[in-house]
Amino acid sequence: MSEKSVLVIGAGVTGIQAALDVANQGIKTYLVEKTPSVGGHMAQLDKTFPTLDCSACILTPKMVDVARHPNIELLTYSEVKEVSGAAGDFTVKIETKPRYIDATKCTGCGHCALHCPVEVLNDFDENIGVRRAIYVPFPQAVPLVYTIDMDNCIECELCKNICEAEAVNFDQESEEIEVNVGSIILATGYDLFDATKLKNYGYGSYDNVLSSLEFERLLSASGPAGGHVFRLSDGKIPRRIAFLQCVGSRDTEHGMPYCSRVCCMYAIKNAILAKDHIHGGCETTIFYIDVRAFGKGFEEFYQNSQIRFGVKFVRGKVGEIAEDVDTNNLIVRVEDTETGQLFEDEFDMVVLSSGLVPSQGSAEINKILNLPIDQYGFFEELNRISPVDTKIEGVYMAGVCESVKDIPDGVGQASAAAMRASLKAI
Amino acid sequence: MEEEPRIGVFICNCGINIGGVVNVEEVAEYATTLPNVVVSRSSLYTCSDRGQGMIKDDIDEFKLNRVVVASCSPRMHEPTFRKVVEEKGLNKYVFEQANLREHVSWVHSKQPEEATEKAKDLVRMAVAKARLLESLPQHLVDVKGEALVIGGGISGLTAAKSIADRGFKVHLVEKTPNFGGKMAQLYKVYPTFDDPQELLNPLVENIMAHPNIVPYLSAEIADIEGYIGNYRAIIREQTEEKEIEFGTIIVATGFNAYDPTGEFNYGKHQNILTILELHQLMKADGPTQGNLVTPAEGKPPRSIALISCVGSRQNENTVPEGKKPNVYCSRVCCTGMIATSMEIKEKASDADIFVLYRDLRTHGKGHEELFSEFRQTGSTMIRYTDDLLPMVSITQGAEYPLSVTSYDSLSGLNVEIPVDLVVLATGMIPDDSASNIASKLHITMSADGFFQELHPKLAPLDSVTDGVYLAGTAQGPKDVPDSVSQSLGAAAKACAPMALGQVEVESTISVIDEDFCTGCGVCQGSCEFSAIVFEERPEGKRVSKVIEALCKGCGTCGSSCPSAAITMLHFKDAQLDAMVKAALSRSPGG
Repeated sequence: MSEKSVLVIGAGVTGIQAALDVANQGIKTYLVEKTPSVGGHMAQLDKTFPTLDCSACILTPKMVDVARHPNIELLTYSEVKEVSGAAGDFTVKIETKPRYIDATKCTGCGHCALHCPVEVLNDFDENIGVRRAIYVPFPQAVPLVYTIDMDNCIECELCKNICEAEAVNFDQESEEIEVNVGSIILATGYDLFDATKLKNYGYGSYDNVLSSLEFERLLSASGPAGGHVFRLSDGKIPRRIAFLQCVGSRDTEHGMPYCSRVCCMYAIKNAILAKDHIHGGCETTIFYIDVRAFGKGFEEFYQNSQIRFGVKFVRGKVGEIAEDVDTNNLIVRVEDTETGQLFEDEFDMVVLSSGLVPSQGSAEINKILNLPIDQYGFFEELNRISPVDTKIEGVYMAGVCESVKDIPDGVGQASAAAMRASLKAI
Repeated sequence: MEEEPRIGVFICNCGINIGGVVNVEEVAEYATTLPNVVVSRSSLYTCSDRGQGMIKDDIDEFKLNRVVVASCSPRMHEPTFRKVVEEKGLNKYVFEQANLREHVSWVHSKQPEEATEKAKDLVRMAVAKARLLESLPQHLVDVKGEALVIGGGISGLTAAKSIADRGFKVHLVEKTPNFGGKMAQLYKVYPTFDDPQELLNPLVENIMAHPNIVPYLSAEIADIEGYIGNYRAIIREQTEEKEIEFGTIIVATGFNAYDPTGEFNYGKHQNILTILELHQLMKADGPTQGNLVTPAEGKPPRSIALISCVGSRQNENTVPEGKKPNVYCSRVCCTGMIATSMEIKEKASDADIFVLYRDLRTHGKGHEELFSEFRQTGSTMIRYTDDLLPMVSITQGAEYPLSVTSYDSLSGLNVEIPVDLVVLATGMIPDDSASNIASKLHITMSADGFFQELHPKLAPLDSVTDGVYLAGTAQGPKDVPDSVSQSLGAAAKACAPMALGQVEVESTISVIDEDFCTGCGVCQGSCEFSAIVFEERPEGKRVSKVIEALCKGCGTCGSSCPSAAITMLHFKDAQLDAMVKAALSRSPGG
């Protein structure tokens, strides 16, 4: 075991992989995650393209691995507060927020949540599902330790009385630790583009216009609908679903100029899954500008979606969505650029393929680190052949905090950052 | 002394993946009726922390000495559950997994009742085997702290430097006389228009001077054998041969440009070039000192057409006869074509540029922005369709030597463009050496001919062979930054076993009973992994012996042995026999 250690910030799939690849070299690794569980956005996804692997199935083993790796110290519900020093010798202050639960006692049995009288929207479910004020964000959460959301807790103490493990502790306070590390890996991920910025799509006011992540949660077996796709307005099963591409991406006026790189593929995947989940059939249409099926196995998947599954593709960026107030159906107005025809089509549900934007978490950590960022807020790389080196020596990055990318590219980059970071910790 | 089996059975709903079809409760209930089963339960996700905790608790409470999980494919979670039983002090080989997802719910989604019965069959079989499971010894092998990197392009160079910086010796083997690979042949790299030499030169200098790196140029691997931690190879450098030993291997053999001969009249006229040929023409040290002139006339081009997807995104209708279509997208050509158009514009500002594309895939960091800039250059975009490829014809005595005709799906018009120069944005194909390397290292190739990663998301840098890792375009098309990322990552993978100095290898291997072995060697001929060798015994007898770290436990040798001297651990005849009998013992009516 080397004497120095490495800090990884963010425990989505990228941070998890980076931590594992550092720790597997015999180097002590701190993995800091600000939410109560590791897993990040990948844990929210139902299945992944182009193999249709169940996202939870391939992610959970890695989540469990980081939790029990002898060289990894996992700090969930924690945030980095201060960084000083230089490559090879950083001093980092990390604050662990109070869960009001003694993690050493909580067995994750869930009795407390059954009795908690307060129901709030679950942000892990993109707010289309609910949780209690005492909660784990999702069933496979790691660590499986409950958290009390004090913003919503009414302090009735039912949970405290019901907990056989006597794990509930309303007096718990935040804790701060200081660690010394040789290098730092940023894996602070992304946020989904806020589609309410596009007034013409009615997202946020039309019940049946969903963001892609909301649709993922609808598809997910552990999501609020148990994997049954229905309309949030009336519970009806949608028979015609439209997927709108480049929502907030390739949009210099209202969104981001760049391509978000994953939306084409996830829309194709979700169009296939919608057909799979909806008994009795469902017609799916993808409105696109260019279909960017560029990764390994992607083009084959795209071709298959048409040949085997009958997913329809229309080349055109949707101008406007209107809602039929009686049926809550959605009328999509679009020009098919291959025929030059302007037309309207009615759908039961519209899913917006929202792009990826730099995360709030990246912005927050950068208040401490002051790294050069690009015009959007992604961390800048040192040069073309140093794609995981930031402009501060000893600070590396991986995943979407560097630029938009899919899971294989993020995971590969995580290993890359682990390589670079390990050199400052030996 | 064999203790009585005490089996716990855990049936997984896998969300609704299994539970949506199979009546999981019924299967769990059924399992309690099977011999030696002392507890049987279901859970939503057995792989979750909670599911694993349940198994651990039951091992304690019911003193389990065998565990059966009926869930997904063992390829997914066998390692997960083996770790669970190990953490409770049991040998990991007393775990058995039945696959109720891929083998039941996914394939019988419309027949829930029959699926439930089949699930019971599989659980009964798994329990029958579990009763006969044996603990197996752990095999540790030492890992030599040296690596072999095959390929000296940007990927191989990057991986070699990282491993060497980490303190391990690296043998870097390049088949051409120079390091730098395909990147060195480019005029500029997109989207920043960096000179590739400026990026490569410091790296190559560093490599040549690095105390931990042994560079081999114009070299090839004449022979290679061994297993993780203990490889041996013969490197042939010109006329010299050198034997080396190392613990891990990085495969960075790169790509070749697709050869478009027979398409778009390529090869029939000097002014029809591939994009790589154009880059060589534009380089300052190229044949025209970087002046962009048409090869046939030696004049500045007035009009140029660039055609995308040459050798990529092909289908049966668009591929020339006798060729297998490359269905995949080559990932770099769209941005490469846009960037190259802008480089052409720099050198020939008056030239008219026409870009013929299908979907414009400028997907990388800064690529879409580059495309926006490109659109300010006044070039013309023409969108052709999957089945109607553009045609390039050689004109006779006309003002322009070439003519490109294409259907433009956006205007609905057929267009004809007279041009001086046609540039084909050719895709990537695996390097010529790929199949040879694959068979030498026992790694697999995916349908597209590139090396297959172990898992696209869980292990994108690992090959199927332990100790062999994939970097750069050898695994699939990608650009320079993505290749570098992957190479750094592969280096990290290779460093892990070398840093630890030891790895554990699988114990489910074949063993040979020397008393029965006649030394006929049939098993050696049948072994795909060269894992069986002869050993001489003092009494003059020759016997076969299994190299444990090389054996993949496939069982082929066992079935080929005429003397039945070979036993497959964990898949012994008695264990399989019990499964077969269990499979056939379904009581009538369920």
